[in-house]
Amino acid sequence: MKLQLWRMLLFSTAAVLFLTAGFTYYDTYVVPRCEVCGMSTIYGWRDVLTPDGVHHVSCCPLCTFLLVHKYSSFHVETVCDYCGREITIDVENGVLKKVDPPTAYLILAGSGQRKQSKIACSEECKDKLLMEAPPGSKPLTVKEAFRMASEPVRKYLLWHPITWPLIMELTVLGILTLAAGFAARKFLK
Amino acid sequence: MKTVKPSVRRELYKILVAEVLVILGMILTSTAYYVSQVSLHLPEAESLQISGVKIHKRPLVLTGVYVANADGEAVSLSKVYLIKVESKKVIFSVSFFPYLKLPPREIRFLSFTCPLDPRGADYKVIVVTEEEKAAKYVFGYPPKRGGAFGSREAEIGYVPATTYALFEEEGLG
Repeated sequence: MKLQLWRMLLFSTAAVLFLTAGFTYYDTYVVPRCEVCGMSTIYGWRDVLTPDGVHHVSCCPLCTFLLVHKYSSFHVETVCDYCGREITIDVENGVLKKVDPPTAYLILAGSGQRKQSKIACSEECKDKLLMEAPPGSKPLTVKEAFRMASEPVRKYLLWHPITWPLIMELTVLGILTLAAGFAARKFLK
Repeated sequence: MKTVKPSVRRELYKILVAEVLVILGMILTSTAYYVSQVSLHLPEAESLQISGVKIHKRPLVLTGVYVANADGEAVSLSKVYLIKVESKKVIFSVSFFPYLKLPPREIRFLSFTCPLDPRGADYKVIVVTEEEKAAKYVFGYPPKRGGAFGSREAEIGYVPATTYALFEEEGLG
């Protein structure tokens, strides 16, 4: 009976390891995640194109500007969170070069939740978004927001995705535990 | 017949309880899924119209929908569902809290992200109001650029014209 318990424990551990590896893979590489904070981009898609032609993604306008700590030059394509009008922003060598339309505003959520930070194309859209924003939300011009975001931040504030070797290690550990479960009969008798 | 030690019996009970909890969890999840599927048969919100969708090409993701309010009263939007037509499954849902206000005679963009099938598929978007009424919109896209868009149009038949305009704009057509 003790042997049965050991085997059950090993099989359950192997199952947990496989599930963890699978979920980690899905959560890191399948779900689109913000490159800055690691949050899911479910509430907004901000496309960031770097000069090497690679597309990056961020979850909110503030995270988009925080990308300046990773890439010095990039082109942002996003839409107004109220009317859907295109907003483009160009950053070159860490300096804000162009904002189209120039009347764009960033609304920093008073709740501190990134998903509630929005971007508006005009004064009118800004006022409408502010009406439904959490208390304490602050509108900033794109220039102000970029200056605030480009101030040095500690490196550990940036999200680092779980790397492949760690996922592989979990899988290998799962295989070993499973093998140990099968071999338990021989060794524990 | 062998007798089982009390300590072993206790361990077995623990495992049994864990198993029962897992099964119970599975039943509850399936029930919740079934209820969510059933509750999607909502009455139509006559004043509300989805006027188009916005799709990002690479990677292929739906980045939002345009919703228009034709009525003289403001509408509060609470949820968005995305259903894959072929499988009739809800593949994505997002809730807005606090509810998003849509003033009378205005078009508003609802921003959210959902990865789409790159092989080409048909989807139905459902926007739900606070009063549990819904606006529906169906769109589809071909598997490859320059592919059988015309034949697919004939095949599915119910894709509204505005979708094509948006796809052409995005360079998907």
